[in-house]
Amino acid sequence: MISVSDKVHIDKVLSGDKDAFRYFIKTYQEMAYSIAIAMVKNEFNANDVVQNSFIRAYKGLRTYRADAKFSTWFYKIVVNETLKFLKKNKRYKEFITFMDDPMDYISTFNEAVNNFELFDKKMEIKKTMNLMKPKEALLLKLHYLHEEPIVEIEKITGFTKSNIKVLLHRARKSFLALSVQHNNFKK
Amino acid sequence: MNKTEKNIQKLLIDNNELKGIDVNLEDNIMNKINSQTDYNAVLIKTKHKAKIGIILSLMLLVVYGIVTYLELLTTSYNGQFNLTNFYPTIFTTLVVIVVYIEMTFGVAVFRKDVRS
Repeated sequence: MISVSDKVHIDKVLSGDKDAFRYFIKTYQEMAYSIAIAMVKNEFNANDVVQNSFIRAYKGLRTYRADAKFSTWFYKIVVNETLKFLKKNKRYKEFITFMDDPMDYISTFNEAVNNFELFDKKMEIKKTMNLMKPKEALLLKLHYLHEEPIVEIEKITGFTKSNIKVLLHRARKSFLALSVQHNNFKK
Repeated sequence: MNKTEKNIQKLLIDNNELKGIDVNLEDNIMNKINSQTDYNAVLIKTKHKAKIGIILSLMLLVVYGIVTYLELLTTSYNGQFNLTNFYPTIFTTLVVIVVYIEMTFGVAVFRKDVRS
């Protein structure tokens, strides 16, 4: 389950070589940041969450069991740290829900994808992700960006399988609708 | 994965927002980690101290048993109480206490800063 490289560096850290922990920061910081930014929507806070997650991982490295993937164990820490941050800052209320109207957002979205060169894609995606609810944005990133299977997402988030499927369906719908309703993703 | 899902995935992969990562993130984390107390070392030190404490306690218990068995602590003062008769016992007890603490906790007892 655990990669050889991860195992070697865990052993090094546990035997007192603190500098060996740099390997984990280098390997997992991008993914951790990607998860954090999807939920906290703010670069400064995302960096803060990532930093706290790594420190928590370092402190709890002894509790890691090699029967699970290290990435799954670590991302669970990132998700927990992010949820803790959101709870503390009560940011849940600030996100909007898309208008659930009968418009065919799927075909509008798919056709608009071909014209993306016309727009500042990064800005549009960022805007859409910022409008999404944290849990939906998280699932979208875990499933599509990091290609985590449902079983791993279950371990990372602690949500049930059926809950993940429902949230994922809603996340897709939300992503399409918000892209069209609030951004330039139009035909 | 249908066409829409593939489009979503492509968009997310092509536009993954990573430029906001703090360039000093790695160093910041390492600084914090390096300033953390090494609890493993503290634990080993404490276990060592506890071990010394237990050995000393057992040794003193054995000495006490021998002294009691041989009735070495019985002071003969002909029915009269005189504090000077107890000076050797008080002195010995104090020495034993100091040696016990010193052996168990090292020089930490005599210094304010006990952390290495």
